[in-house]
Amino acid sequence: MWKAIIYKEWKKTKWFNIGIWMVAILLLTYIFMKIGRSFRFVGMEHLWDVVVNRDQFLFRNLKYFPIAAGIIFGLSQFVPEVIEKRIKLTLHLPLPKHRAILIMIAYGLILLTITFTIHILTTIVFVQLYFPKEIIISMIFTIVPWYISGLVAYSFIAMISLEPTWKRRIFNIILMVLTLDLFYISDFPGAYRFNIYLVILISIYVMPFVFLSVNRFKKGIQD
Amino acid sequence: MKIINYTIIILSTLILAWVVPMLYHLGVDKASKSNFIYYSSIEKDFCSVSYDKAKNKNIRKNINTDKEYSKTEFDSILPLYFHRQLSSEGKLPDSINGVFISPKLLRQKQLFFRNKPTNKNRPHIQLFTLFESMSGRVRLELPGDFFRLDNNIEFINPETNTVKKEKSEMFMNAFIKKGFTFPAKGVFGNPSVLKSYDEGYFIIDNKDQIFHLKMVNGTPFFRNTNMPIGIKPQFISVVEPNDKSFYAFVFDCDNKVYIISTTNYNFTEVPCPEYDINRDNLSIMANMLYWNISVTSTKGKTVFALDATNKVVVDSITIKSKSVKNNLTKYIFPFTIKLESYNTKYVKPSIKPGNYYAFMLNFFFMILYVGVNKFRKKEIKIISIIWVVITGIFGLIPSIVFNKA
Amino acid sequence: MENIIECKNLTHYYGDRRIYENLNFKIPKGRILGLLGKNGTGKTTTINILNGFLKPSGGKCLMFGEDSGNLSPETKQKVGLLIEGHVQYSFMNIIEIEKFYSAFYPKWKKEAYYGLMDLLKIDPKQKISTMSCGQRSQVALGLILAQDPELLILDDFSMGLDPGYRMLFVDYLNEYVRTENKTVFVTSHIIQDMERLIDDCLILDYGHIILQKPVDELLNTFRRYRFKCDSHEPLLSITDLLHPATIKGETEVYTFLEKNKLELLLKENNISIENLIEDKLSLEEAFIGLTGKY
Repeated sequence: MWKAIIYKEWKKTKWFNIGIWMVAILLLTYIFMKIGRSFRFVGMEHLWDVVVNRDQFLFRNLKYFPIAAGIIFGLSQFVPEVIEKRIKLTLHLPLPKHRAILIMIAYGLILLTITFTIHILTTIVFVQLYFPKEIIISMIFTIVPWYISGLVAYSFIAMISLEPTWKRRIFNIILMVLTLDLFYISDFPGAYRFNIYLVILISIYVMPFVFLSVNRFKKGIQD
Repeated sequence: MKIINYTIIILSTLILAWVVPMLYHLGVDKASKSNFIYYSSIEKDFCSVSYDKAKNKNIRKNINTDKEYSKTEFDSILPLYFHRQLSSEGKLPDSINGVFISPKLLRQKQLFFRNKPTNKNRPHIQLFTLFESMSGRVRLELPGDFFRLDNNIEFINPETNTVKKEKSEMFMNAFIKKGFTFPAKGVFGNPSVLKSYDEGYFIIDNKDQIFHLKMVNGTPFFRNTNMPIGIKPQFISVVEPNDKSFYAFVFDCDNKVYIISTTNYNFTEVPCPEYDINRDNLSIMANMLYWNISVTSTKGKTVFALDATNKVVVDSITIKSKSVKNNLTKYIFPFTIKLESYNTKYVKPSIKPGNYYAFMLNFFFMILYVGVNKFRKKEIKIISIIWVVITGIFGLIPSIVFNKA
Repeated sequence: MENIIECKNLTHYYGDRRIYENLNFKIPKGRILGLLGKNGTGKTTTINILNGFLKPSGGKCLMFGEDSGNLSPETKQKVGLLIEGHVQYSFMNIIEIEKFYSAFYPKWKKEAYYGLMDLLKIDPKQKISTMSCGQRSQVALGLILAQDPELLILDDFSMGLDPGYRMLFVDYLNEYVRTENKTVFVTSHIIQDMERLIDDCLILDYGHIILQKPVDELLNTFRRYRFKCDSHEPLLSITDLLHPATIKGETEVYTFLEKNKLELLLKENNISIENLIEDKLSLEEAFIGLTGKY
């Protein structure tokens, strides 16, 4: 049965997903072409020098990709459920309470996590050819909050989409924007190093929020 | 579901405790007046330049006597600072306080040094450029490798991203020979090609000893500075001054500042008024006769004038900052959350409690909560009342907005 | 007889606005019940409560003995929902959607679905979102037929359908539920369609139920009488006479009374009439007679 739900989710999100993957590939290609260009122009040593001694960050173009991916993916998955209140069909499927939503959310989070992990790993595979582990670790600590923010944005989009009333929806949007701000306080390389656990904690903390929206929908709350 | 709603209220409360004070500061904060304070070798007193908004001009005066100076008068009472201006006008004296001066000597003995908390509290990629100190060239050039210092020292060639085995071994041997204890606690240098000469790195080893590392003719120059017992260094700033009289400032865990002199690595304490490297800004303007040491903290600014030769305090002045009094946040908010600060480049959450006025205000917000819910005919929950009493306005807003689960 | 749906003391408010209070009704197994009511009487509210998308302010609604807001998966398998507007996962085509739903129902009857789909003459690869409203209704119906539920809840099945599709829908449903002894709860704003389908009717007025009885019984006993009289004003105070009105000199009233009893009643009240005509009513006319035109 969970396979059928995943099939349904895939039907909704397929093209958006493929779009996200395309952007992911193009983005990496662009970044590496840019690094390659700097490399040809000024040499590797100079590139290392600006990274190590001038706090330059070579992967800043990745900054808004995960959050955009999370939002677009979430919308592609949940807006079709909200249009004409199709979520009623989903909730009526003969599954234990919350199971259908749980599978849908798990589908989204797992797929995004896989996409993001592959993206980060691909970056690392390329980067480790030209840069030492110190620079890679710094890079990881810098980009991981951005990727986690993609998951947080996704969780919030699910919550906001399924919320039955517009008033609460607006408050939820405000909460989402402010929460996401937490992930973009500083883009100084490695700024989140000692608080990466907090970033991960927040992403787990917001995951159950969607069930409140579903519950409110089931109760038929209108104001 | 109630629990989820409570988690939303908690998150919203914490976020408001971060955002609201931030917006308050955005709207209210003014730059605290930072005026330059100089110690006059002629007047033997502190003088300052500050911008007067009302008169729309710079005011130059003696801080203690309030005597105002014109621009030229000011130049002449501060010859050690404005010697270039004076010498272009031919007004530079031959000696001050019986000490012979010349433009060349003044330039050589002149030093400007600033240290912000973020110089220490920042993420730094632990790779280091070690220049050739005796290249024979006027300009410094990138050496073609970077070193890392974990449990050994390794030089890496950036063009191939591989370890230079021979060079690494050669330096490693020097480290072992001099009794360096791995891993290093801190590596401090000034890796810039824009400086006039290179003194390499000062390294704190695992036993809190300070070592000096340079590369001379491609070979290691590595010395234990034999730092006096009792100093526990936490940060070093390598300076490379024009007169080559000292290497670096050492900041120790007791908030003391030392200089490592170029003769036998002698440590001399530089008196600094209540300087906390993690919070305060330090600036040193040194010249032939006096070191002007100024520490700026949230409380204000304190300036010490030291005798340049023996680093003994000659005079000092403290100016209290006015902006502290205007900070109303602690009267309004029961607590505030900060995630970033001027003191660190790291994102670091910190909670600052307000004072008891703010907690009194919380009871007003609690009554407001009860009133609003009575008016809207909503359920009044004891747990929410407690939450508002604890968190004040930050808890009030989400408790009203996210009232119904 | 076993009751498939049982609503006890159902009460609902939206804020301070009362929809109804202490509504009680039951639907026995094998009956097709139509819920009739004007706009705003709580039809949608009732459907939403039954479907589990609204928690009533008071009372409860049981389906197969379980609370309608919290049905077990086993019970949900026995309930087929047709959502207002024949809403379905329109991002799928008819093959995909069949494949999707078949995973959830062990007794899935593929043939029933494709039997109906064959009538549609559409490309099986065509997305549901690009189909006409009528075609979509057939897809939704086909899915319910394949699910083979014991209870069908159909919310305004005639919405947006042209007469041909409405008839097709009713005929197919009728044949299916009668041969398989299914229980049905249905609403529609077109009462004509209901008349051909339902056994019982439940008529809602603002805040309460007017009646619940078999349609045959209603149509056999509920009548409209037309006659000539001076004024219909005196009729207004007689409780057994519903919605008296005079149009172009002819007075009409609705009542459950037989002709001779009506004449007796009028005589007792000293009302003289002429040309008394008795009309048999359609369900739609009976509904208007019971609830009034306004």
